[in-house]
Parts: sequence; structure tokens; C-alpha cells
Amino acid sequence: MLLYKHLLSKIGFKRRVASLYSTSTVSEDDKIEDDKPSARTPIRKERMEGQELLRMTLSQKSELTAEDWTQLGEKLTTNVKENWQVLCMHTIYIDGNLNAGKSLISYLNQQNIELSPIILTFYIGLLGKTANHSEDQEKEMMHYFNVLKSKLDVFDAASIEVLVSGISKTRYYLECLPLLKLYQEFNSLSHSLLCDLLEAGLKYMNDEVIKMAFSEFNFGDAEVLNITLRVPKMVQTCLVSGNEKGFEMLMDFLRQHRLNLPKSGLDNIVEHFQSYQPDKWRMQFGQSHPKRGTCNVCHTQLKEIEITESEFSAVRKAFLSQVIIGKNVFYKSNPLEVKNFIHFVKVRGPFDIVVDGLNVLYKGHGPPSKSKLQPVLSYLMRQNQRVLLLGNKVLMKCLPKITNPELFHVFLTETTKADDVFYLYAALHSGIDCLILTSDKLRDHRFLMQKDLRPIFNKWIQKVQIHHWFNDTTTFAVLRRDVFDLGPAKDDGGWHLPVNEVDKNFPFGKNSLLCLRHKDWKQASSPDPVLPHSSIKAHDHRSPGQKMDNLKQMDKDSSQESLDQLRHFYKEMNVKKDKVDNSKRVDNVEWFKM
Amino acid sequence: MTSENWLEALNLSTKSQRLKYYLFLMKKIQIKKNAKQKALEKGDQKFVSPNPMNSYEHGHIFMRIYETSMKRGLNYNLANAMQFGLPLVIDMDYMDYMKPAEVKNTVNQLLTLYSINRTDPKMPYHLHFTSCPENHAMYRMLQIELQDNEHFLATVTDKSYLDVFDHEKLVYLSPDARAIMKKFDPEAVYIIGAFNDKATQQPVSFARAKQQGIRSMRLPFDEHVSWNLGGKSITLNQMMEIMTGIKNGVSWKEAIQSAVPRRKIRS
Repeated sequence: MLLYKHLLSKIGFKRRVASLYSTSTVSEDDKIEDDKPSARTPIRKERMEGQELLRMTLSQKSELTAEDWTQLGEKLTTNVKENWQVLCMHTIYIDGNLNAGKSLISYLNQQNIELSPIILTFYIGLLGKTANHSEDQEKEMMHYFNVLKSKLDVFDAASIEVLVSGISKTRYYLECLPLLKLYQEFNSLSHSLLCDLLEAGLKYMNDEVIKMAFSEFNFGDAEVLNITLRVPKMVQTCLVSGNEKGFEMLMDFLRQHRLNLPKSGLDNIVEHFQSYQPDKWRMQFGQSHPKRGTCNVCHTQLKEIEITESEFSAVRKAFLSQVIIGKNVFYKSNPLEVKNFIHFVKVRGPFDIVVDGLNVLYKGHGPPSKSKLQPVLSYLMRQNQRVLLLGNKVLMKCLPKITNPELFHVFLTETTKADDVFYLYAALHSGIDCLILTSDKLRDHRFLMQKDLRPIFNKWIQKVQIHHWFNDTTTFAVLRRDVFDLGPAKDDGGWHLPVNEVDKNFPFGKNSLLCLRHKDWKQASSPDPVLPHSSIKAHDHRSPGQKMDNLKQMDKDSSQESLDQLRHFYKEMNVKKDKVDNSKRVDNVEWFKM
Repeated sequence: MTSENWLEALNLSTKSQRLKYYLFLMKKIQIKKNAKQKALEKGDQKFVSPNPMNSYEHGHIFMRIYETSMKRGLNYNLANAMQFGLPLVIDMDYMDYMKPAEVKNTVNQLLTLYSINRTDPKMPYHLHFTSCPENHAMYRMLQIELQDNEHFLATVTDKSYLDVFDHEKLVYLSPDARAIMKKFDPEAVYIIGAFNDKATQQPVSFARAKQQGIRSMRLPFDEHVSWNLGGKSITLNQMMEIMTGIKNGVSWKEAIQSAVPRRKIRS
């Protein structure tokens, strides 16, 4: 307890103060003994002034002599109440100014001033950060690290972060592991530490370290999304060290978690590829075709999203307990309603498509009305789909006449909080290919799943969700589904990296990707340049009249297509006069893919 | 930092949470310091021009009422309410859902709630603190803050409100409830949860009412005022002001406008 008190006191206000005034996000170590609380506010300002003074002095003179340091020290001691050497070393560490750091250390040695642990920590961080494969500097860093270890047995969280940021950049990166273990005893590992470790693994081609970092990301508390900021740097590391396997592992991890890099990050990656492997790649930003799933730059066919039975059943098993019931079943629903719904799905299911009724009703302009729901349902009925419509009592007023009641089922929930989870449950229990018609991003439900199931759940939702459709009073048309895996995916010709372009206007992104091709790669056969449904794109800028004609035409086409499917389907039905079995329903759903 | 602060800091799981907590403490110290300085400055001014009332009290047509007599009068009101007043239940069973800082906030709000009820010009409510054993942390803090344990005029019980009152009469007031409280029903026993849900953001009280099979209602904010911004879960003292107002026959609009902060309501 006492030890922790001591450690925690180090992380105190000073640290915060440093991060408030330093431009860098790297914050200060806090081994400085705390002053009285009342004295803190003035220190902040003085500290900032001290840092400015140091930076100014360093910019004016290239090398500071012992005299200069003494003068600077005198100036700083009058202003700053804390140890001036610590302030200087911290500032130097933030700026990554190796020469200044060396000069300060030599000055301190000259004056026979004992190096305090905090100065040593920052100096080790500085040496490691600026090592650049220099063997002597790395050895020097290890020497100081050994000195530090002889002084202290335990390190606090903040100093471990500084130490790891330095040591992980050198060949002694394995020294980080015991430090991380120590960190884990009283903290959950932060993403920055894990990224440091990952970079070290990629740099020195240690697959085990890479796997360790990834498994910590998968099962620990660190947020996976934070890795995206560091990916360009990691790619650079891979390119410098020629670690192809590491690069593949990194890309696999990104694909597994469906992490898409923003355009700026991909631009950086392009630059790295151009500078380290200038004659090897052809790089271009493009889009994947929403229906056919081909890259419009290289015309390579992207793979479809694959979900194995075991993955799917794991999600299905966990869904009820983790998302619907969660901490308290009464937050969303009540036990009786849940029980009724489970029974309902058992008796009426499986379904081919579940429709978020309220989402359809409230989408677009105007109040909810029959005319909004009518085209959707009649379209689905025409395709002989077993439909489940979910919503609350609002639906009762807007329910159109149903010609085919055998295929149509409705469930009304008490509140609007339960309908999302209920249609997800129904879809999960109707088989891997049951579709979901909703434009909801379903974020709140995704994050209720346990961490290792979240990527699979996301993948499944992406595969089965119809999020972009068109409907007016007479027409309904599916515009987009994201059934193709944008990657990062490797094929014979190179890589495809997806671009994160999700914003307010495009909540599901734009299917853009970065196409990386080997320069000597040639496509086996050139595809048909005219695309069958090229007019139906996710973002159509043509006039509404034109758009409508196209949509109607498209509706006709798909009806014709589905009629053939229907014939086939009924033939099958006649052969086996029992319930529709899953595999056939899958065939029947095929045409939905655009 | 006190040992309690340390304990709280140690219970936090990440470094950044601890840093935030330290910063919060630092801000608090600074605020206290500033307030102290202000008070000192004011004190000096007082010293320069002393209040004439303190120096000479005679020769006025009104008798001065001292604080002790005020207190006695208010306590008389409360004692009266405990015999004949309408019951109002404060559900104290929310300790598991709150962080230490929220608990402190709730205690402060409860204090204000108690004093608002006491100063009700008509008959105050008879407050029932249910699910509140003697060693309940919030109750202990309340006693320390109030410094008037002898005259804490409210029913404090470790039983649940379900054991004390008739189920059919109970109405849980929750911001997430579906039913709207249209008018004040003197027959009903209203329940307010002593809960600060700044961090939780889950319909805990509504879920509890559903689970226990009692009625739950929300206040008719949307029906009587146009809401500007902010959540509709209001603090306990605001709740008490509204409840006192509508009990005394004030219209919903007036009661809400006087209690809820002005920024939340569009004029």
C-alpha cells in the first residue's frame, strides 16, 4: 500500500501540468517530490517559461558549455521551484534533442551531481528514441538502464512508458517485457505501449512479440481503434527491415478488426512505398464495384466476406446473454417479452429477411404512412421471401394489406429500445444468410458484445445488412450491400487497402480502396468494360427523373431474374414437400446481391 | 490528499483515470482557496462597516426572529408532516451504481431536498428514506453534513418501500418512464431515486419499477414547456421543488419553470 502511495504520488499533478504545457503528447515522469498543493498553480506558468528559456538558449547556441549550463541553471532556479535539471531533461526528451541531452549529462557528471532516477529515465528514453541502429548509443542506453535498475527495483506507470518508448526502438527491446509485466500489475496495458512493442517486433522480425501484442489487443483493455494512427509508421518499419511476414500479420489484424485507415494515413503509406521500394509498385486510389466487387483500377475480383459456422454459432450463443439481457434485462425489455419472442422465432422462423419497420417508416421525408411500407413488403413478397417485420405499435397504423400471409410475420415490441436487438436475434437464429433491412449503424449493440466476438459480429452485420435502398410510394430497390471484403487483402498482383471515408453524409463509407500492384503484374484476362448495373451506384448524381426510370428498369430486371429463381425454387419445393430447408433458401437469396 | 482520496485513486483501473482524478482534486483545492480568499476580503469589508443590526437591535417595530427559533418552527412543521403529511419515498438503494464523486453529489442534493421540504409554507412531505440501514454510506454522510442528528425528522428504514406501502399506491418517478404524470394524486405514494446517473446513463430506476411491477411515471416536461437542451433527468432538489409546487396547487408550467435551470427551457 505504501509503495503504491509512493508510486501514485509520482504520477500526480506535475504530470498533468507537463502535458498541459508541452506541445508533445508525451508527458512527464513524475518522480519529483510533490510540493504543497497551494504552490502548484504558479509552478505551471513558471515551468512553461523555463521550457521556453531552455529552447531559446538551445536554438541560439549549437553546443552549450559548462558555463552556459551553470548560467541557465541559475536563471531557472530563480523561477522554477523544482529541480531545473529535470525540467531541462524532460524538455530535451520531448524535443528529441540528442546533442543537448548528451551535453547536459556530461555537465552533470563534470559537476559531480548524482543523476536522479527521473533524469536517467528521460535520458534512456531519449537515447533509445534517437538510436537509429547506432550500436554505441544503444550500448550507452543499456548502461544507463542498468544503472537505473541498480537504483530502483520498481518503476511507476509513467516512467515505464518513457522507458519502453526508448528501449523498444533498440535491439534490447526484449528488456521491455519485464517492464510491461510490472506495468500490468497495477494498470491495464495502454495502446501506446502495445504499439511500441508491436513496432519493435516488426523491426526485429520477432513474430512471437508481434503475436503477443496482437493477443493483448484482442483480449486486453486497450482500444483496438487506436492502432490505426500508428499503422503508417509500422508499415514504414516493415519496409525498412524488409519484414514481409510482419506486414502480412499487421494487415491480417487490420482485416480481422475491420479497421480502415483514413486517407491521410494511406497517403503516408504510399509515400513510404515510393521511397523504400520505388520501382516495385503501381499505386492508385480506386473504388470497388458495389455489385460485382471488382476493383475499378486493376479489375481484380475481391473476395466475399466469409464467416465460418463456428464463428457464427459463437456469436449466436453469446447474443442473447450479452446483448439482449446484458446487465439487466429490464433496461431494454422484460423477461416475458423476451421469452415470447424466442418462442415466436422458434415457431415462425426461420426467416429470409428481417425488416426494421420503424427505420423504414421514419426514413426520408414525411410522417410514417402505409405508402412507405407498402413497396418494401410487396417487393419482398414478390420474391417469395419469408419476412419478419419488427417495430412497435406505430406499425399497426401503417400496416398495408398483405396478400401472402404465410410469408409475412410481424412482431410488435413494447418499447423502441428492444426492436433492434430482437431483429438481430431473429436474423441470427434464421441462419447465416438471413438478411437485415435497416440503415441503422447498430453501434450500441456491437459494443455490448464481448471483445473477442466483436469483430465477428461486425463482419456478420456488414455481410447481411441492406443499408442503402430506395423507396417511394410505388418502387423499392436495393441499392447497396457490402458483401465484399475490402481487405486489406493480398492477391497475386499485390494488395488492396480500404479507405476510411465514413462521415455524416456517408455513414457506411464509399467502398474506396488503395490498389497496390506489382509493376510487372498483368491481369490474366481483361474484364467486360461495360458493367451491367453501372447506373446503380451508391451515390448517384443524375436527375431524379432519370434515376427513377433506371430504378424501375432495374426493378423489372430483378423481377425477371427472380422469376427464374422462383420457378427453380418451386420445382425444388415439389420434390420435397416439407419445410424450406436452409440450403435452398440460400439459393433463393442469391439475386439480392447486386 | 487524504487517505480516502488515496483509496479512491487506487480503485481506479487506468493511469489516465487517476490523472483525471488528481486534476479534479487540484481544481477543488483551488476553488476552495479562492473562496477562502474571497471570504477573507469580504470579512475585512465587514470589519470596516459593521452591520447596524448586530450593534443595535432595539427600536424596530418588527421583532427579530433568531436562527434557533426559525429552526424550531421549521422542525415543528416537519414533525407535523410526519404525523399528517403525505408520504414521499426516497429510494436509497443505488449505492452500487454510483462512483464516489456521484455519491457525494447525491448527498449534497439530498441535503437541499431536505431543506426545501422543511421550508414548504404549507404541509411538507413526510420523507421516507427506504433501503437505508444505519450504516448506509450516504446516510452517514448526510448526518455528518447536517450536524443535527437529533432532529433529523424523517422516517429512515432499512426495509424496501415495497414492504412499507401498498404496491398499488406506489408510483416510481423516473425520467425514462412511459406513462406521464398528468396531475398530482394525493392518494399515491411517489418514489424518487437517490441516484446521480451522470456516468451510468441507463434506465436503472425505470428497470427497477418494471421489475418490481409497480407503476412508473415521468414528469410532463414536453407537455408543458418546450425543452431546449440537456437531459431530462433532473437533480433531486429540482425534483423536490417541482413536487412541492404541484402539491401546493401551482400549475405544472410554473412549477417546472421555477425549478429547472433556465438554460434547459426555451422561453
